Amino acid sequence: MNDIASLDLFPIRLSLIVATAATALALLLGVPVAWWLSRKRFFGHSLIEVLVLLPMVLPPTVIGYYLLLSVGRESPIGRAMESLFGSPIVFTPTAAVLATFVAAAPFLVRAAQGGFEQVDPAYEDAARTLGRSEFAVFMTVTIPLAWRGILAGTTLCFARAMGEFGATLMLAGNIPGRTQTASLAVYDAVQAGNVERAMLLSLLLTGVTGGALLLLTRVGRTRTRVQTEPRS
Amino acid sequence: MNEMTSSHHVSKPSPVHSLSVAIRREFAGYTLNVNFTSTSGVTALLGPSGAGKTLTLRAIAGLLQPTSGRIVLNTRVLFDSSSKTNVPARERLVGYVFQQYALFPHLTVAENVAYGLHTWPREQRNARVQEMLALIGLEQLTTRRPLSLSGGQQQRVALARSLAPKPSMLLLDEPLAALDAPLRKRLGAELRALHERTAIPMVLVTHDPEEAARLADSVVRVENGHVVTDTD
Repeated sequence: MNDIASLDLFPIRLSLIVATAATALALLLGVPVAWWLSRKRFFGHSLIEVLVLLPMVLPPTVIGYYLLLSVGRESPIGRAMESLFGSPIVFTPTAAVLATFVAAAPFLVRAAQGGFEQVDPAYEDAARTLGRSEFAVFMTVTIPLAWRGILAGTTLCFARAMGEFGATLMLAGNIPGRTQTASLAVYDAVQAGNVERAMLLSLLLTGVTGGALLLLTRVGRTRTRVQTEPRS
Repeated sequence: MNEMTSSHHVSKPSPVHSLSVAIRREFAGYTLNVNFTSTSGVTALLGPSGAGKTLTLRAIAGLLQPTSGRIVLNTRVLFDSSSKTNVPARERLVGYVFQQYALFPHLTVAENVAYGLHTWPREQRNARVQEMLALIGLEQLTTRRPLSLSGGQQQRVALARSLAPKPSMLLLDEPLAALDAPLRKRLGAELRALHERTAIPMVLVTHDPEEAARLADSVVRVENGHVVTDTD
């Protein structure tokens, strides 16, 4: 019954897909937000900063509950999306991505903001006086100089995403073969007394996450060497 | 090197250089209110630190927006609050040499010099980079990173980078302040020679009266955000 050959690897696959999608979304939305928070000072700056970072310290169940209130079937957004797509967003893999994104993205924003704050605005000004558009300045000067912080943030975000449990459970449920991610499957296996499955999934989860972290730190180290090598 | 002044970007009806600045900008507890006109080849903005020299330079470059006033370079209106004209920095064709040079640390010397030539066809761009490196005598260092260069070499690269796109004018913020005393004298003379060769109008900021007298044709004294005397 607990045959290794019949081990269902769907949770691992789903975790990888959800974590990758959530991290990609966090890069797409989080990097501009991080830049904006690092470069602009405005009324309510601290409030926005706190709101963005709040999911880092809130219990994941609370994040999940707020998300249920925002996009659940009874909410205006949830109803609008249900009429648009024909089915509710809750208890779907999409909901798992959304919950994971909200729980993990703050880690990327925090680290990327730190990276941007390290970049002397004089570099950006120099690029402007050399005729480059704001977008070109961002892509050719700001990002390459802040990449360390962005990479660190991406790593942390992905790691947090792979381990996401509470918010996903609240918003996407724990449906085997549909929304049951690896961390949820481990919990289920332990509850069911299926020790072998719990152990195998845990080891796989550890291996995949650890491997990803190793890869990212190695990339970071190579680039560091290239960047400082010409010093003589 | 007559081609430095005959920019292919803009047609200047008159070769006579004129810069007219009349700007006002309020800060918390500080008002910048600078008025001067210069037709000199090299103009020095002279004054103690905090006088508003750099702010004035930034306003001319388009990196700081005055509250009100007018900036006219030759026949081009760069800023005019009454007609709501504010040419962005990238379109002003004004070169800027930053106090700490702001050379892009992630790019090579050649890439730094080529940075403002992104719209040029590749062959012309390469030729221009070679020409600029020859002008400053650093042809051997093209593949080096800025941080591996000495202060004097960095300053020359910064000059080459800002001159490469054939600006109508060059702004220099304390161009010699980051260098030690013997080098300061030599590079001051080089700067003057560069001006003679390229005929590019320069406005430089300095706190050193002797340096202003040595390098500039006219001196504008700035104190507490105001011009005190104008010895053109």
